[in-house]
Amino acid sequence: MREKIVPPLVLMLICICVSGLLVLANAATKDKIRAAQEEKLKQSLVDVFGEADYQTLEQTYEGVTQVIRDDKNRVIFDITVDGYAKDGLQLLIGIDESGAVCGISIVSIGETPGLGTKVQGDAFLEQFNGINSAAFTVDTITGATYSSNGMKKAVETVMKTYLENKEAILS
Amino acid sequence: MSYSREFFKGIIKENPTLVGLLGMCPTLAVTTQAANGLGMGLATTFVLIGSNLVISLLRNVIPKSVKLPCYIVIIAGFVTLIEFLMHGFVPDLYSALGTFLSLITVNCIILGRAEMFACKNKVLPSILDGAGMGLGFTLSLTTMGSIREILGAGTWFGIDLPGSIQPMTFFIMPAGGFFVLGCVIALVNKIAHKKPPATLGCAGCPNAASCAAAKEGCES
Repeated sequence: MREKIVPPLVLMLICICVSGLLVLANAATKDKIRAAQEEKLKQSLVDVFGEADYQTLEQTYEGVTQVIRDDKNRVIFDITVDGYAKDGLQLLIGIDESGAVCGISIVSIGETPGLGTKVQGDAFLEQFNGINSAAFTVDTITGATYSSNGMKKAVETVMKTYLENKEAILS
Repeated sequence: MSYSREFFKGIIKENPTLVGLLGMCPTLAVTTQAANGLGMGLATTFVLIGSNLVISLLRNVIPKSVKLPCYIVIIAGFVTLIEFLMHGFVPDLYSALGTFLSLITVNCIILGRAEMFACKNKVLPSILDGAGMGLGFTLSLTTMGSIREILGAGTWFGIDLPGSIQPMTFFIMPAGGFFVLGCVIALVNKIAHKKPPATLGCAGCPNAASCAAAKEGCES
């Protein structure tokens, strides 16, 4: 009887202790983690679009993580798409007051170093500036086909969402 | 029993990756950059020291029939803790390591040391064993990462090397990882003057000293 009860009891006690300690660890690091994430997002926003009063919209749209609007009628889309890696590209895509893409910032990139990461190059990113419809062509980077297509897909999704919901986002 | 021996054996003689051939998954997957290899190695070392310490303390408490679930719970606890810390304090490294951070839980080096060493030894040797094995793992990962980053991307720890050769992307790709791993293992065996045993048996195994089956005179 003893060897039937004691082992599960010990396992249960260990599980309870470990979970309890992790609750404490979570409470201690929760704020720090949220601050680090917000800091990273804000840094990316300032890098591409300069200092402004950014507001995150409560309304969410399909395929887009969040939509941020600033005080100059510019809209910034936070979007994560698949590149060569699943969810390999997290981007901020800015659309200016005339409805054209005005800048792309890469928040995190999980693509192959040396190949997929080439999409971070200015020459590639500048091709997207000024695009104002969901139909456009840009040159793909050799050796980074999947990552380039991921970037195109992201801009397409953002333009489509923007054109369909323009009034709701800007009002 | 000499304490320094417990510490230093993990670095070359019983190096978990290059001699024991354990933990191949993170070794090949995260070593595209030297910094990632170093970060992964240090995270694993932290978990290894922590789990060895706790398992060694509880070695007389944990009943034999539930020892594996207990070890996994303790290891997973430490992994979750290091995940919280990394996410909060070094978010860049956290996103670079991604899934592999949670997968430290099932890294066979850690469970291997728990099962092989910590559950039979006192606290201090277990901590030294964990630290030595972790350091050996960190060294192999950093070496792998450095070779792959220098040859494959022309940088080292993210710093551009002046006058470097044209980077060969092959070394960043998975195939290059296997290639570098093979070369490093060959080199370590050369340094350790390890020759293939004349007859196959437990004596040739780097873990023979702490393995119960080998002591009882296993044949194959």
